[in-house]
Amino acid sequence: MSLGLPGHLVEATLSRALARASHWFGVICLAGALASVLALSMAPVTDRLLATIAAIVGMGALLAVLAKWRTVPLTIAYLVLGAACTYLFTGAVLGMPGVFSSSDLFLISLPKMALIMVGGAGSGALVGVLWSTVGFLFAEVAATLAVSQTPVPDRPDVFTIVTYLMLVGVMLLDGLTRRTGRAAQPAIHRAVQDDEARTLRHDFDVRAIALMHDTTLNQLVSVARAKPGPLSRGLEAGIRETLHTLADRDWLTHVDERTAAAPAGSDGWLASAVYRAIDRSRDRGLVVDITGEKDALGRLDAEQDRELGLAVQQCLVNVLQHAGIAAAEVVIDADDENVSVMVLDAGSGFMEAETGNDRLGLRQSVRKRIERLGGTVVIWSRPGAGTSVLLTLPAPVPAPVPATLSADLPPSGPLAPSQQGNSSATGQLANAPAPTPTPAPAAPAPTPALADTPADQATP
Amino acid sequence: MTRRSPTQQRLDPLGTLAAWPLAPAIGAVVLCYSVIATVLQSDQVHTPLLATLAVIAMASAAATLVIATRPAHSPFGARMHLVMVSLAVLGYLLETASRWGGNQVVQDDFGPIGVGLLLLALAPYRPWREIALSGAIASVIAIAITLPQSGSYRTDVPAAVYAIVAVTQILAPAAAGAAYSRRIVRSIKLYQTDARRAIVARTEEARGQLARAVVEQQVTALKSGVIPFLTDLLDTGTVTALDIAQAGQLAADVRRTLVAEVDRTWLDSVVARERAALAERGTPGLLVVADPEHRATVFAAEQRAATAALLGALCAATGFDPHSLVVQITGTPRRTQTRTQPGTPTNPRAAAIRPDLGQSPRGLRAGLPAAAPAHIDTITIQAALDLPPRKVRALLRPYLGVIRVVFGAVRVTVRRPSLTIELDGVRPVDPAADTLPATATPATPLGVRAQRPPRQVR
Repeated sequence: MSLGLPGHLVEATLSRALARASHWFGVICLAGALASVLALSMAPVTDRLLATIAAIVGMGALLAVLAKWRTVPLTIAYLVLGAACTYLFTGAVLGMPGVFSSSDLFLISLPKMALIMVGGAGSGALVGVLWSTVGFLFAEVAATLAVSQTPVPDRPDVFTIVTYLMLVGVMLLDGLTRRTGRAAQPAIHRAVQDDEARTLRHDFDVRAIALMHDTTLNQLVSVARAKPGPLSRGLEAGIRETLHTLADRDWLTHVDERTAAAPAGSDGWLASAVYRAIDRSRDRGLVVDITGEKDALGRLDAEQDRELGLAVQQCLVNVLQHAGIAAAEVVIDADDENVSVMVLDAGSGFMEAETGNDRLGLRQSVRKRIERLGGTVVIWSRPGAGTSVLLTLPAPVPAPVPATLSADLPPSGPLAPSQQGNSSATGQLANAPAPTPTPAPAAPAPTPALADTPADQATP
Repeated sequence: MTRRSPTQQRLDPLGTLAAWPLAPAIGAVVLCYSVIATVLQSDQVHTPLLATLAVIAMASAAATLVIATRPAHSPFGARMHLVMVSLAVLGYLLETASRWGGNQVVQDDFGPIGVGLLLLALAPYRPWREIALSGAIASVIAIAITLPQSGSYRTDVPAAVYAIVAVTQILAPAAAGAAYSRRIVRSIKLYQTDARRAIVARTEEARGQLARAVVEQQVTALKSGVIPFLTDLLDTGTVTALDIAQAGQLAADVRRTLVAEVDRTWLDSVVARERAALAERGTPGLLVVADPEHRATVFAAEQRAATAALLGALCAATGFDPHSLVVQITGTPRRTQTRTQPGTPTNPRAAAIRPDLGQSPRGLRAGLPAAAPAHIDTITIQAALDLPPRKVRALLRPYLGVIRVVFGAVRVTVRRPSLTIELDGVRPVDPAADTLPATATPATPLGVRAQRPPRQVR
């Protein structure tokens, strides 16, 4: 999520990575040196070659230790042992009688390059250059000394010099050119953080707007539809509730609390927010019929419960305000994975095309709420045929059902048709298509769930 | 290419940008060495044509490296990697063929060291496994072609020593490159984990405060009208015709505000902040967001952050005309398959290289792969920046370095003073995501968004 390294980490990180690269370069060089000494020693084994093998192995071991702990003593030890190894190796290889005609051999450069690639302690380009320069000097001195004791003429070792120059060039470039992106990197880091904050803020905004809509806007619309005269009891209660909610500044914080206790008591239904929402709607004069597995609501966690309650409340408010009918039905259903609530009315219904895009009720207060919690919302409606809203939330059955609960709860799963009245509707609901918002075959053919609801009686 | 392995270039684009001069430097070294080695050892070459071809192949490999590492070409893909390594190995093979039977010394051949150096140069751009694997394969080839030539070598040592020389020249730089790549990616990822944790922790701390701020903002908006109105209503206990009319009016106002807030995207917030910053600097400006379909919501966090940083840099640049910035988002239709136009190039790069295509916003969709099941959403940023093009590019370089990594394709057109930047965000077609917008459910009024003219945000 965070693009790039911040300035204060760059030097140390690069230094570590370059040291690691140097060490691997060195290890390969030493392996090459070892392999070639072994190959050369196939013919006449001399003590000198055996000592060289020991020195190379020792140098490699020290390099491995240095790669793990980049400390000053180990760096110095490596440089000293490396110089000794270079001396032995050069002397041993060039000392082979009549094989090599000059000292400018890649073979001879191998331990010297490993010595340059010391990748010593400390971070920063200049420290790295310093260690490599020391390594280069040690290597050249050791090699020159060794060559002088052999009959082979000493020629400049181009490989070592070029390797040294390239390594220094890389280290200086990485150390110096970093400064170009200096202004951009903090700006990008800030942008990443801002984005994180903005995402959270947006999440809150969405919830605030939904709540705002539930309270204030609905209340204003109720007032706008009232008849002149004294306030009705329902309206007065509603206004009081709205003002009370608005005075409670911490409502979002409350919603946000994740540690909230599960619905208290053994009766999940009476403790659920859905029950309270239905209760409030009844206060406002709506006749609500409830069927289905009411106790399944106890499976919802605190946040799900609260949000589902608010969504159901909005659906019922919609019935009151738009359906032109004062009766609704709530069907609660559950399977092993999900808990769903369907709100049905036999009212006027609506068509998608006739609904203004400035309407917020279903969009914010119902759909966004449920979808934010990973649930789905499916709506069936057409003018004159009523409306059905199916809200589904994921709430798996807890694996081991506690004894107290299992006594209270009916077995979960498909509804028993005989459980309540209106069995055909609930039975059909259980067979209703999975609550994925499939592009249902348009209005003329509503789902079976609709066909059997009381909506039919209201439809001419 | 389905799963992208992390590289320094993807994780730390700016650091890679800084190290970029290394690539042309190494390319130049390889090229020069291959020419010099061929000239100096011309007595060993028996087929000059093959020797020439060898130099050309090695030069092409170096050119591939330079082209693929250019900031405008990022990120360095697997295909370019394969092309480069194949050319380099081909150069090595041709070189060996041109002096087969006459090669006196292995250590002065340009093939092995050329391959090794080119692999080393890949360190910031490619995953370590691929660098190491390329090095291993090249080493096997080196052994296979070094051992049979043992008859021609000048010095009388076991043939294995020659193979060791060739292999070390390839493997030492390649291993160094792979080790660098592995180490730096691990360091950056380690840092990212910490940074993410820190950001989450900070955001969590701010949670309560932020929630209160949001509530405060909402309630403040109501304090002037709605709350006093409802309180009065409760006090008097009666509803008059006037009250009813006022309630309707207030409801319409509140609804309008809420709808505007619902439709607000991150882009609106970013632009609003830049606008405030401009006003603070004493040059209030007109910044326009044209996103009628609210496509801004489909972009990922990294894309949002990189775009926000770019917009910030543009608005703060000297010579920026505060009335000139227009950010537009267009794209392929949400519910249908990717639309392609006949007769347009199918390679996004092709479109990117052609500046004429970059000019018209309609040309944006030109570069779609024909049958690719992906949506492309394009952010087009237009601004007037009164600076020489060279300076504009220098200003944008670090930001574009990041943006190129997080967006599918990027096109930049500089025609003083106008500057156009187009960013293509590619997202795979996800049927679930596609049907989620409420338009998919026939009867629902949710999320139904009419085609509205571009909004002007002031």
